Amino acid sequence: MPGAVDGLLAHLTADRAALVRRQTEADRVVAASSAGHLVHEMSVHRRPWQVDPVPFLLDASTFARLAAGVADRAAALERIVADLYGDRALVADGVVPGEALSSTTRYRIDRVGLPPRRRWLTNYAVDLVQLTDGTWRVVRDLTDAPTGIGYALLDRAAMLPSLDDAPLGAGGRGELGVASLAGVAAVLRRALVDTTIVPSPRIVLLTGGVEHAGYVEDSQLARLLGFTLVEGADLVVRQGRVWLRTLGGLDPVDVLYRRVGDDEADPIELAAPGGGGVPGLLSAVASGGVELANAHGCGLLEDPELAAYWPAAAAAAGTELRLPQLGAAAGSASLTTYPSFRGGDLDDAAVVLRLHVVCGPDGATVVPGGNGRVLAVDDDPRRPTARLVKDVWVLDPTASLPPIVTVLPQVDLAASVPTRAAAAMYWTGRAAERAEAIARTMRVVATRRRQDPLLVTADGGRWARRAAAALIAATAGDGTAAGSSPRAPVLALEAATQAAAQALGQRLRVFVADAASVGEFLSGTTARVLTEVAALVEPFGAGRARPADVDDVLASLAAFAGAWNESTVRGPAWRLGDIGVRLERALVVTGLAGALAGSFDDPLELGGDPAAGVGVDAAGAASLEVLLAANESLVAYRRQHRSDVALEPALELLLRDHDNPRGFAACMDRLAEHVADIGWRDGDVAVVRLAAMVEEVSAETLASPSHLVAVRATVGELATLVGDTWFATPVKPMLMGAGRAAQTLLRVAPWVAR
Amino acid sequence: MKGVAAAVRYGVTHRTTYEYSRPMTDGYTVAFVMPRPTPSQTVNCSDLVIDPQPDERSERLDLFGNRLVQLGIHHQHAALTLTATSELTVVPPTAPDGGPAWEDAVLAVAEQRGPAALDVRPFAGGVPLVCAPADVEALRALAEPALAPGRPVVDVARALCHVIHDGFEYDRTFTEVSTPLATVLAARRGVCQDFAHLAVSALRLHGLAARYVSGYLETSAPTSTDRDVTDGADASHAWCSLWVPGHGWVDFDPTNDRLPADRHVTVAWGRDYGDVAPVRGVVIGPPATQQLTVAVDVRRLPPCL
Repeated sequence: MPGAVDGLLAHLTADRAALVRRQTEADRVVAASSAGHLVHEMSVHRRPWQVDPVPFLLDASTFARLAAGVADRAAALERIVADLYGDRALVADGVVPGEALSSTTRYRIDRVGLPPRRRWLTNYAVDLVQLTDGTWRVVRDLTDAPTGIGYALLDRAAMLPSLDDAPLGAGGRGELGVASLAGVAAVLRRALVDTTIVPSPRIVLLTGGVEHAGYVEDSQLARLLGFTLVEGADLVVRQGRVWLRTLGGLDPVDVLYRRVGDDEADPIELAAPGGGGVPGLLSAVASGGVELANAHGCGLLEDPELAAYWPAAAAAAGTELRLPQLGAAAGSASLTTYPSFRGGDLDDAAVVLRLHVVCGPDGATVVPGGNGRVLAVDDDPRRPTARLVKDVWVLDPTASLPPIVTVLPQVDLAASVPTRAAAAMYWTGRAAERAEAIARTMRVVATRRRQDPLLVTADGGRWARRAAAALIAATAGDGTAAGSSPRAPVLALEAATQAAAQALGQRLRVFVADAASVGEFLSGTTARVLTEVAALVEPFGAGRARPADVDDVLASLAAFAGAWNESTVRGPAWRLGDIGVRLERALVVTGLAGALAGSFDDPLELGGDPAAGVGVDAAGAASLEVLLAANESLVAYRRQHRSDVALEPALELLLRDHDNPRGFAACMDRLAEHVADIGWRDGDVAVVRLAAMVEEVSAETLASPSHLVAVRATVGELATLVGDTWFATPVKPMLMGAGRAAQTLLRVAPWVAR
Repeated sequence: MKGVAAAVRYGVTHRTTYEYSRPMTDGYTVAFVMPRPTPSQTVNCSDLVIDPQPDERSERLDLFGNRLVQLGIHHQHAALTLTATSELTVVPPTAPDGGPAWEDAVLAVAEQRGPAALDVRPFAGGVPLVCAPADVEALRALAEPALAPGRPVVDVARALCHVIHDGFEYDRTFTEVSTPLATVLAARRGVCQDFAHLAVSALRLHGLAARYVSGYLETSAPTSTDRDVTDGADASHAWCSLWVPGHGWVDFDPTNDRLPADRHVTVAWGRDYGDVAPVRGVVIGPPATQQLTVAVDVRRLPPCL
């Protein structure tokens, strides 16, 4: 029914204003839906991809025809790969030459002859193009670790507003409706469960990590499927099985939904230095202790040198590859074009259509949707360069996947927190807290300077020196040096301000990167906060600190803290994260108190001689205000003390007042609660000892710089203990040096017959 | 004396030691150090001792029938030693006088079907993995002088031995395990592993079936009695094998410019070194350096009576 396609397309492209609006809406959804690409955004790509508000439309009969061809193709490739790693009848019969297989690393000879798999291809994808004569060609097969199924779901989410606008009947589910993608996750989950004979298998999704280009999709899929997202370093091989390193010890894993290429599976097989992957993984595969999906070795089917043999191999295996391959020389000129909206203009462009097949217990299921990748004018269809994608609409509601009640594994892996994720939560908490301390100190110093321009030079620059010391202490540096610096106080303050801005930028980067890598443990709104923070990072890195930017950072961090405290599940991951927050806050408060209590050669002289006038040491009082404000405790102080600020009550408030949530004592209370909850006895002992260092000393001792330094050092020891106990140092595997076959020449050997 | 194949008995000790500057916490190792049987070699016994005691150990045959041992050590260890001890009987292989013309051997490769196809074709034609695309022409050219039209295929192997032996200098200091063939070709020097890769690659590029053989060589005179058997003066060796239609595989040793008789002991074969590296693996631990020591001793034993 091409009429339906044309009519709908005409409707969708008729109104330019509507296209702009849908574009904006789609951009917003993509930006907010996942935080993973932020890491990339901060480095290389400003924008990972954009959704074209004009979808790619497939009418019912075209989709049915393509789906049948694609499903057949999946079945044929499954038989081919099973044979090439199994009986090798295709090699023995000369259909696939043994010499051709031997010439590609994608044929994993380690894998040949091992016990047969239940299934080789669980997720198969294929790129297709339509020629100007209306026929379709296969551009390439994706059999190793196909990407796109998660993006298809994400792009559909971005296009839902457009779908609602379309004249398709109620909610797009009318007679002319678009096939829903709601059932995709269930079908995929069911297929993954079926790769093993283990009842209630434990399944994890193996990603290349937050630095990996596919991370956005991987984290999205893990959340949708309800599987734990793991990286290579989270897994370890023991007793022929794969185990997940968790806070509670090692948890066995039965199936790895592998989102990394098979050349990243096991560094032993590849003998590549510094390689990722899980050492010994393939020996676990060999002993049947774990299933990979797709199975290790499936990448063979992607080898372009071998593609010419597949039609004959399919025929020999009793199947047929009906969809023909695109010729090698074909450029985008011979392809059908479709309307595409980019840069505010409607244009015609060729599109590569990616369809996905999920092979499970019920056979091959073709996803009624997919990815449309828009080609730039001179693009090779094999390598699209435009970062513009189209949601794929199948105009046939009956093509929607039937709802499946999946028999879900009852073993709850969600309860197990990968050690790496817990570490990332901890560092997220620490980075957020430290960034906040720096930003707050920067703001209070800047505000005080604006209010009282003379303060900087007054009294020989005493305030300026202390403000510099406070900034340095806030960045976790040693404030003592600035206090006694021979530099002019104003210059020292300028330098400290710039350094603080840079330190803030650096902390914010860590914060975004770590938080992005544990999105599944954080509230859904966190992604938006991270997006905002990521957009603010750059000027700080250059040492610039506009007050408005600092305010925005503080607002974003407050939003993050709100979600952290109110919307994050109180599991062990959050507990360790919050231990990070409290430890960092304890470091901040003791650091700032130490810097300002006089750990330099110009100690505060408070009290002075009351007869000489009010506020003898005006600079000192102003410094204490900075200290209190930097800890967000000035309001609390004013409510308790109606007088000018003085050192002793200020320190009491910051260190010993359990009702001041920004203070040291409250941090200790929270820490005690956390270590008790996670059942960490050594941590409990350390927290009690630390609390006593502040609770059980005289006011004089408390105000002594050396004591504050000692307290701060003890907080640092506790932080080290957390790392040693919970996040055993992740170390990169080292390749064992290879012994060289280097035998000498034969020694004099007249007696050896030649 | 042709036709009288006197069997020779060997005792082989192959010790590989890794020492780490700081203790490792985890180690995964794959080893090909236990000899396989061949038409001219019987393995009477073979034993592999691992120190420290591994937590996991398994053995299987790989695709080519080699004995593959997998080890896992999951406790602290500052060193790892694999000591393989084997006793074998070697009979000088009977090489055919010349075999068919090499062009016919090339044609015969593609005609193989059934088990023969699985035995021969993985080692034939194509572009060997050790061969970078840029080396293809130079490697093809290397074999040209040996490939006189109509020359019997075994004579081609002999001739290629001469070409490499005469054209390249044996130099232990020049290459290491990862040196690309391009470097060997440019400098005209290397060790047995490099020469075997040259020969195998050149023959395969011309459509013949050739494989890389990993093993040992008895280097001292059989009559010598004064050598210190523990000095580890021997080392692992590598040579090649060429498929001869109607006969089977014929070994040749470009490093020593000859067809092996009874002084070569085979451990494993594959497409190249990467398939049969004696020991490879990954260790996990703090940043550290490693020291690898290999000691091989090949001893002629008194004949069994």
